Amino acid sequence: GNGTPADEQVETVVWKVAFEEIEGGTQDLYAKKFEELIEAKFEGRVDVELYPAGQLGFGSAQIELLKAGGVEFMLNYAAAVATTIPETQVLSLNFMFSEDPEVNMKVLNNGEGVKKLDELFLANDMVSLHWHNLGFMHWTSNRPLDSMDNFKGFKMRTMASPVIIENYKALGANPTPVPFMEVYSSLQLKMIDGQENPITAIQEMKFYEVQDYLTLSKHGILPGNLVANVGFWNGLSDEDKELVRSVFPELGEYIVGAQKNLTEERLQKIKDSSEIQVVELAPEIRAIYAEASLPVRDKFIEETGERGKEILDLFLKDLEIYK
Amino acid sequence: MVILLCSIMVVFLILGFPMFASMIVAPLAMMLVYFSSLDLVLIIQQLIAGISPFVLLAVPMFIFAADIMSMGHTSNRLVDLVQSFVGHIYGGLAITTVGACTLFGAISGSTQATVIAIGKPMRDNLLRVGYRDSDVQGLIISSANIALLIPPSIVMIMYCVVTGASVGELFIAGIGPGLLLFASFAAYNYFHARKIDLPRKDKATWVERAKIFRKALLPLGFPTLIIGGIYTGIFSPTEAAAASVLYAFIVEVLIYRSVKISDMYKLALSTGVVTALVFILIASGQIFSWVITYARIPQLMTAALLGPAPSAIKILVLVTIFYFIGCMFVDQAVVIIILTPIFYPIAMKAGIDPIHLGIIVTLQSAIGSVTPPFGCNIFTACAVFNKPYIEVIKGLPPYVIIFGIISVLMIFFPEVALFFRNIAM
Amino acid sequence: MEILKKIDKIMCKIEEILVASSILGMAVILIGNVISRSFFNRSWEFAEELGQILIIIVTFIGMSYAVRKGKHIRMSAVFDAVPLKLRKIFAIVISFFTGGSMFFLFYLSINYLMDVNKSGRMTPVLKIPVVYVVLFVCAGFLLSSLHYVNIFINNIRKKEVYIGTEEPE
Ligand code: NA
Ligand code: NA
Repeated sequence: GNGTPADEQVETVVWKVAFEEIEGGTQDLYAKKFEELIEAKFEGRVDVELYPAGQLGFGSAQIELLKAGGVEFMLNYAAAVATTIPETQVLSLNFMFSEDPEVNMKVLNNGEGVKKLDELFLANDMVSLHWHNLGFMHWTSNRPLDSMDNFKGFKMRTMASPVIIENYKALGANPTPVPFMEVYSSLQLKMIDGQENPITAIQEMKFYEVQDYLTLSKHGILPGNLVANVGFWNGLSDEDKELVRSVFPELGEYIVGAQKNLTEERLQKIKDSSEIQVVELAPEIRAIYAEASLPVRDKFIEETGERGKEILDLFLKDLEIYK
Repeated sequence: MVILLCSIMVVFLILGFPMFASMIVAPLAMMLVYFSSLDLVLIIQQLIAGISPFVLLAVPMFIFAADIMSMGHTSNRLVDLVQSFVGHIYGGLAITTVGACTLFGAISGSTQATVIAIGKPMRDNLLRVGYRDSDVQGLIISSANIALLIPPSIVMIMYCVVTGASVGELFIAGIGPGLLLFASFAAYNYFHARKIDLPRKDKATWVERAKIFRKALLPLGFPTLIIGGIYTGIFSPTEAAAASVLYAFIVEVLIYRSVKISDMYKLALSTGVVTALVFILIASGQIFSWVITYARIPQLMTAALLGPAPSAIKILVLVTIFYFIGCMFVDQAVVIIILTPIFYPIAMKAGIDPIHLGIIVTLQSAIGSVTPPFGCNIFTACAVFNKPYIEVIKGLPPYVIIFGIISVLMIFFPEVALFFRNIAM
Repeated sequence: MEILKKIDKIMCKIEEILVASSILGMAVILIGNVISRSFFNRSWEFAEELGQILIIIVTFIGMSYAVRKGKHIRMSAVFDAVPLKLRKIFAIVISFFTGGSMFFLFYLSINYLMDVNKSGRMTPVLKIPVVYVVLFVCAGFLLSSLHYVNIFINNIRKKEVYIGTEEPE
């Protein structure tokens, strides 16, 4: 056009955000809120575009996409970087995080342990900006998981990640990696006995249709973070960086509430549409499982060395502080 | 954008370039022209991502097992058994092929594995009876796709994950259209065989049948093993493929001694080559669809066509057309993940049953594997039967027409799609 | 010239061995996992990643082997219908262009190799550096482009039309 200065000022740039969850899930809610807040803060200078459902890639493919500049941001599952940053597996330890979502949010947003992880992200050319919990992990199973005896030989579907596998060996189970898309039929055909996931995923994937028990165990969390491409991030002015960071307190607050509502709503849906028995995990049994899971921390240290030990200690301290 | 992408690909294909090269060069050109800031190593990364699903392992395993069995006695004895029961009926062997594909596909969940495991042994015998090769290819490729509608079906699970519809309901509903397809294909083959008067065998006596049955006892262990193993939860469909390799090895090498140990290396090599031919196409297809997604082409095209407040029929017609065209060019899984979130909310607003929509989507996915240029089943048939592409697709039109008729029925008569669900629920 | 032929022959053997043993390896892993899970109540956690590595080897080394043998799937209807002279030109253009693309992809795969090397990514259970796996991708593209050079030269120098490196069509 005949470019007056005013025209140039409102020229918008597109920021692409890639994530793996489908629309309606926790990551989707997070991304939509991020879009809303950023677009408002930047007053038309930025148009945020969302690419949900792993459209552009899953796991390590999504990470490489970000590094190659295909997108400016991604929402990452901590587990997806475990192959490059093994220390992130600290987040997969069972019975370590609090049962109180507020506590976990504080640990993930303000803790010292997370800061150390962010340094490792940066060393790998990724700018980790903001952590969040995508939900508590729970078990579904074809027999009640209310004693160590029932875990004996139990074929538990896990991701193929060393710490997660150790989590279930420690309980006496038989951890069996199965690709996510095959979990439903594997449960249906009883090739595996159970699986772990947040309520939202259990509802989305319909695992309750083919399982008898849902144990609200909160045995772990599914953490994720918002990660930016390093070249893009360094190219932003300090004011713009601050502007991006300024949305995080509200975003963090929002996602804890939204996640809680979503979980309740999905749990109700599960109860309404199936015969699955929903059981709480009794505190005394939980204590037994937690005790049995402690040696996994040594395995984690074995796997990650001094640096891992330092990070684990920081997380334990953070959890103590914000309790 | 779309024009550049498609025209490069089509020109390269027509000139006779290797298909995988055409499918890499077209998106590469598009990235260079429109997204020059992208790091091109993404192409390599996407190639690898395209072949990373673990389930793909079932393909080489079923090729391997089928190779061992057709070199030995297993497949002939199984087909002889079938022949003794249906050889006197017009199109009997073809109808059996349809049935075997439906059953095997239902169990293995993989249409490609079905093309190999059923197609390979059946083809030799169909040719022997006097069928034309391109007809046989069309028959096998199309019948293998019935598997997508009969549970378990990965395509259906994907649809449900994206939309939140019930997997159980969709599984049950799929059986109806699956059987309808089976019946239509069978009827077509019966009348076709009658029209061209294919030679038939004399009806076998029960004594003959008993004799043939005894000879087929060990080979019958093969379907028993697969069906039994999967339904008792001993192994996954992918592992069942490997188990059938083991079984074929035991029967042919150790018991019948019709295949030598030294043959195993040769068979593994030829299996590997056939696998590579198909997988490199799956990998390049991944780049192709990645670029389409990145450029947001589907979103741009659907928005223009839907218009404000479309009627239910208009939505279903557009869904059918869009999935049909999408599946011509890219893998069904990609089409479902990209298009479903666009159409689903609009369809719900118009009061369409989510299961009805799911069946239509699944059916179009099934058609997608048999519509050129991109079709995994077509590639598999080319590679496994060592036949030129054109030769393989020549026999497809009658089946595509049947598929089309059923698609239309499904749009206007939801009962066709929902019959089984409505009975069960 | 003789020495080149000898090297080519050895390369061919290596390609064959890699492809065939990967297929045998897949069968062993899958069957072994079933046996271990059913009888010893222990799953092989590495089955998935090892299977995926073998798929990559089969695909990319097999791709190059298929170029050598002229086996890749093509739509050859037009190609087969045109007169010999034109077909010759087609074959020259195709081998030149595809060979060039393969070489470009080789170049990209080397870049990717360096990226992966820098990130130090390892497979989760067996801790195999992913960079070794990418080496097979690079090798596949390099070998394919060399095979196409070979086909191109054959088409220029000899009378017949070459699709693969070994025999005219
Ligand atoms: Na099926
Ligand atoms: Na197609």
